[in-house]
Amino acid sequence: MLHHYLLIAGRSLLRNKVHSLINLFGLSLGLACCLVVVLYVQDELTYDHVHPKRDRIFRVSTRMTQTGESTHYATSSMAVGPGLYQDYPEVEAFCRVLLRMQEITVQVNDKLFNEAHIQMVDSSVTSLFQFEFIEGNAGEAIRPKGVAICESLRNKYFEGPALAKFMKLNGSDYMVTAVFRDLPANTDLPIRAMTSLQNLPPSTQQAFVTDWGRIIFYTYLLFSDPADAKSFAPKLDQFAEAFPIPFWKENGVDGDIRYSLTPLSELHFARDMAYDTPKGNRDYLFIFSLAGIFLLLIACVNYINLSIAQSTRRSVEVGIRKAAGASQNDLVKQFLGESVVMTFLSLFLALVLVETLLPAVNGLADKHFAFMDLFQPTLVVAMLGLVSLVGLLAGMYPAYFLSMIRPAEVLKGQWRLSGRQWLRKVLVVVQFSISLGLVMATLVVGEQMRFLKNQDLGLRTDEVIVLRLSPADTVQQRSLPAYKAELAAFSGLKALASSGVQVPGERTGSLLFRVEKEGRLQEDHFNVISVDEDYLRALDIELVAGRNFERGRSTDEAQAFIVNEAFVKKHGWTDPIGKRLQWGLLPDDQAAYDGQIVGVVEDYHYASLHNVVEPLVILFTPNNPSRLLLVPAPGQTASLISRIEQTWASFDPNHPLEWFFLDEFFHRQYLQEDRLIRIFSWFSIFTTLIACMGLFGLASFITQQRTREIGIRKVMGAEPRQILLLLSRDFLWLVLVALMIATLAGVVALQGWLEGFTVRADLPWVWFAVAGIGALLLAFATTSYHAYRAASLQPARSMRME
Amino acid sequence: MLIKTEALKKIYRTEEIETTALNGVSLHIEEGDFVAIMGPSGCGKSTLLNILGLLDNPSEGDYLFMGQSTARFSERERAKLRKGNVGFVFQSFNLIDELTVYENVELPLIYLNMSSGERKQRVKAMLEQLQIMHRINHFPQQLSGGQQQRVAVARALVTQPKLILADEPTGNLDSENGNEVMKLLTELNEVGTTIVMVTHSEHDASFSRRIVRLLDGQIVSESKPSALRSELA
Repeated sequence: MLHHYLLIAGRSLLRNKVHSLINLFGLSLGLACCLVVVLYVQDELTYDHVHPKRDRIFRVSTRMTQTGESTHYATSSMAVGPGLYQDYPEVEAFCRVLLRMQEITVQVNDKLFNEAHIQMVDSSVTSLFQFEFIEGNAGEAIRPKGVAICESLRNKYFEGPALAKFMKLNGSDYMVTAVFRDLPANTDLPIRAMTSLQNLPPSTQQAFVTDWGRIIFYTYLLFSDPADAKSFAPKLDQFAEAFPIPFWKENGVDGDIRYSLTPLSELHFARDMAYDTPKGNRDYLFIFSLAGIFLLLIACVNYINLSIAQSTRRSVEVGIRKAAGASQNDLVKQFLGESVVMTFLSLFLALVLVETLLPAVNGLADKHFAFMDLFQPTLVVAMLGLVSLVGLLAGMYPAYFLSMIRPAEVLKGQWRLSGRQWLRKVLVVVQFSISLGLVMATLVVGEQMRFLKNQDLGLRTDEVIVLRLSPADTVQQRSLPAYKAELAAFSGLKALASSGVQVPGERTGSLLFRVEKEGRLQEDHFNVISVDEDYLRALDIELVAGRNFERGRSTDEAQAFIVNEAFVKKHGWTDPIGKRLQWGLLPDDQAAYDGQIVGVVEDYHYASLHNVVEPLVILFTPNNPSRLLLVPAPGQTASLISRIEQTWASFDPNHPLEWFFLDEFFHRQYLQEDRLIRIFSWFSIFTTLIACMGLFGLASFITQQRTREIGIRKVMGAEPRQILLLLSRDFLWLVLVALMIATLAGVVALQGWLEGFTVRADLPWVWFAVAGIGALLLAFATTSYHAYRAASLQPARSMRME
Repeated sequence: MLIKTEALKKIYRTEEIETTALNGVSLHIEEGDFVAIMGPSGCGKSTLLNILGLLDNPSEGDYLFMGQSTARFSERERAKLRKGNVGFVFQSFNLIDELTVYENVELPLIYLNMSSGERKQRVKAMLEQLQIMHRINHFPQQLSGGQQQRVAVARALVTQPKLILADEPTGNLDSENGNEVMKLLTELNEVGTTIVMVTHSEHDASFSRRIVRLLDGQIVSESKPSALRSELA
């Protein structure tokens, strides 16, 4: 019996080649997209699942409230971990990780490397988190002057085993104590190498431990029982009231500190915390899943529509089978079998597609999926479930519809497909609403990104070349003045400046300041950047009041500050010049840096266009820069780059030259949105393609169904043009209705999305219109192929077909 | 002369078989004539009618309609010549199920780009003449066979064509309704409309002025009907 069904299924697929290809292509593309989405979702939902104790690990975050403003930090002070561990027995262990925003210069033998994700940690790191050691062991890994490195770093630096070999980190000697397997890419705490927090100088440790306001550590707690963590909030309040709050009172800080816990398993999607690790986006997860489901749904609709469309042809088969004794159930099974066969065939093709396209997908989504990831047991079950579901979903209605055909009518030649028009119309409208909706979303997101990128940033980023320097590399820093002088002599250079590690487009650091307000000094955190005296001029940042830093003035480095307009506005000053500012705070209103505001710059976008421009303090740090910014003279970019490289080679051949363009770097923060646009574009193209293919198949069927009518109309004098219009009109109406639905739904949803930006584009109505007209033309072109053929057929022939 | 064919040949080709439907048919029909074409099934009657009605092209030979050679006409050219000049009545009526009686009859006038006022007037006059005015808003399925054929005749006549082609017009009708239709055609012929009718029925053929008999795609005889149609009528 099964063999018989498979045979019939195979033959029926072969007989209707066009329909079968449409179904096969649509379903496999839909399934392939769904599989990729499943990979993506699975990846995002299993962040840090490598750590078996993840359900018992919680991170402490700090909420600080000062002068009415409250900020939630992902970090906490150094004393929080040990304090909680000592006072509360349910805390089984703690581990702190120093927040580090800079790369570290690694020296192995004579070679220098800049590396990210080299962390300073407590030795308890191995009892909280999972590491698989291939050299050394957990007990020995974290100790003073020792460094544990991951396998890929070992392979990069050493040949063969690395244990007990030496390397320099920012100039200090460390011995390799252990080598561990690389952590998976989906972790929010990437560790490529780790050293002990004990390596911090004792005085620094002392300063960090005693100051509750210095929140520069990620603190992870291990609870014996996760239930204890749920009821831990009152104890955290107790703790805050016992230590940090009195500490602030003693030091004259008017504010509040509160702590809270986030489970490790929820960290990836936790939002709105400052100093947090890069995050996943639950919205994107939802959007991609939805798009994948939509795509598959559209392919299913094609299957349903085309199956019904074929029913005229298959009605005879049904009639004969019934006459020969088949029950309705037998026929339902047969037709469902066909759709399941079709979907499994599509699954096979989808897997081939995924395998072929995975490199492109990885590039698009910035992931590291491997084809074999799909064959984890849970995913295989999910995959088979999905395919069966799709098979049933697509096959159920056609199966019942076909099996209900009454044999007597068919065999007498009286059966004709009637009714059901509304279902087909609704399905086509649904398909096109979805595909047009996606197209519009793509257009709006694209428009907004273009808008953001074309915003006046208030500073120059075009063609600016940024060189990475190592402040810890004394050799390099010593030769820097000569290097700068040599570059400055080059006529292709228009301007040259230096700065700390934060260039525009990068998250700035922030410092605790005392600001003169109402006659006394008040503490507050502010964003800072450090620059030299040429920085403002080189980047065309406008000074609206006061003066620039001056290298000649020896006092400027410790006593001069420039702020932005937002800073002035926040304090409600009319004359900001001369106001007192301190940082590097010491007790009794003393500070390492104590001076006055000497200038005010325009609010330029130093971080991101996602947010409003926040108050900023610009510090004067003319020496030991981390970045060199070079502005080429017009048309001299290429020659400047080669000059930079030549000069570098003569000064510092050991150190790799690393440079990047500032505008590219600045726009890198829109990577997520750019990625969203590109992913969305593909989804839009795919849905539109599949929907149009369905329409093509449907048009062939409708035309076939109306052949007799076309013949009559032609005999009555209708011209091909009129027939074309007659046949296309019905579809165009459907697309028009879909266009209206998509526009209405799209405007509501997209307006909401745009509200999330401080600067936002208008809805691109012109592009909506273009998309709408495009869809209508596409639908017309799709349907008119068959309509034109029918219209050109000789009427005698079309009537004979009846 | 309205119709003149010269050695018409029509050959149908499928993948394997070649069928000669017409094999050298030469036929002359004057304006105002009423010709019945008879012959057994498959002798080529309907094929000939389709070519005469400009619905199909001959494979060989020539067909002059109103003095114009049409054998090499494209579908577009044939459609243009057909429009308003030829009316069709089919055995299976060929009404469009989705259109009402009124709309079915109106159809050829729409394609003549007639104004809606004039269309309305013409359709109503025609329906009154054929006594189906009371069914004007019904759909074809709601009518009896005789009524459906009257609608089809109304549709064929509404453009006042020079030529009416009828393909077994009474084939699906009982004798009473059949006679009605034949009477209608005779009356039309009497006011000058040329009629070419394909039929199996000697009875129907007796209404004509001339009978052409076909066999295997060739004309085998031409004769006058045995009884005078005026007597039958």
